[in-house]
Amino acid sequence: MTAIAFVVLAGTGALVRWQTSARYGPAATLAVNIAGAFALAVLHASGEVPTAIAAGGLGALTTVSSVAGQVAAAEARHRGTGAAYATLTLITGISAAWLGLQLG
Amino acid sequence: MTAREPVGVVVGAIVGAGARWALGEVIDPDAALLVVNVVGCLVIGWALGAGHGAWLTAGLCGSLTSFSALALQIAVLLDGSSYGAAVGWLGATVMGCGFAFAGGTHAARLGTR
Repeated sequence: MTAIAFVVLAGTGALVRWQTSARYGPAATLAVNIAGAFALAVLHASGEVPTAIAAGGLGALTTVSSVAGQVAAAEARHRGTGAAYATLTLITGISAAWLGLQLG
Repeated sequence: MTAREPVGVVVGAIVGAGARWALGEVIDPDAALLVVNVVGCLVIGWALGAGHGAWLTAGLCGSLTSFSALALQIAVLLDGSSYGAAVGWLGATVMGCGFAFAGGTHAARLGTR
């Protein structure tokens, strides 16, 4: 049961991230990363988070590698924007997780 | 978008997320997260440079790496006033991912020359 849930949630998380970032670009990746970090922290603070949700769904919904790709692409277009995007992702994402810990 | 593309992304995601979970079970979870994030950035640097498809970039690399777990890891450390460890893990991840991505991009350039 856990394995099935893991596979379904990981696949769904990746599809949502892939399709939204294909349509809306780096802003969508930032949005799913913030939302995923917040949700994981709320669940973590509330108790034991099922592996299928933590490592599967929210793990696959959020990404570090695509951020690296978008940072490089932004930096190639306009110097400084990649670093700004990376910094924005880290500050908002960690803040969202911290907020989630307090609320959970 | 071909019909096969979403299937590839899902399969890549299951392999990537499964590998991330499995590594976290066998070694220290914090170290495991650093390893998968750095490896994912290395592979996506190469994959983007070599023109590989979404199954590898958005699917496998996207799901092998995890931002939610990273943000939680750092937030828990900050919440527990472990500022040194927070800076250490975050710094190692940012530097590791940056160098790994650049290395992957460079490898792709060598491969296509």
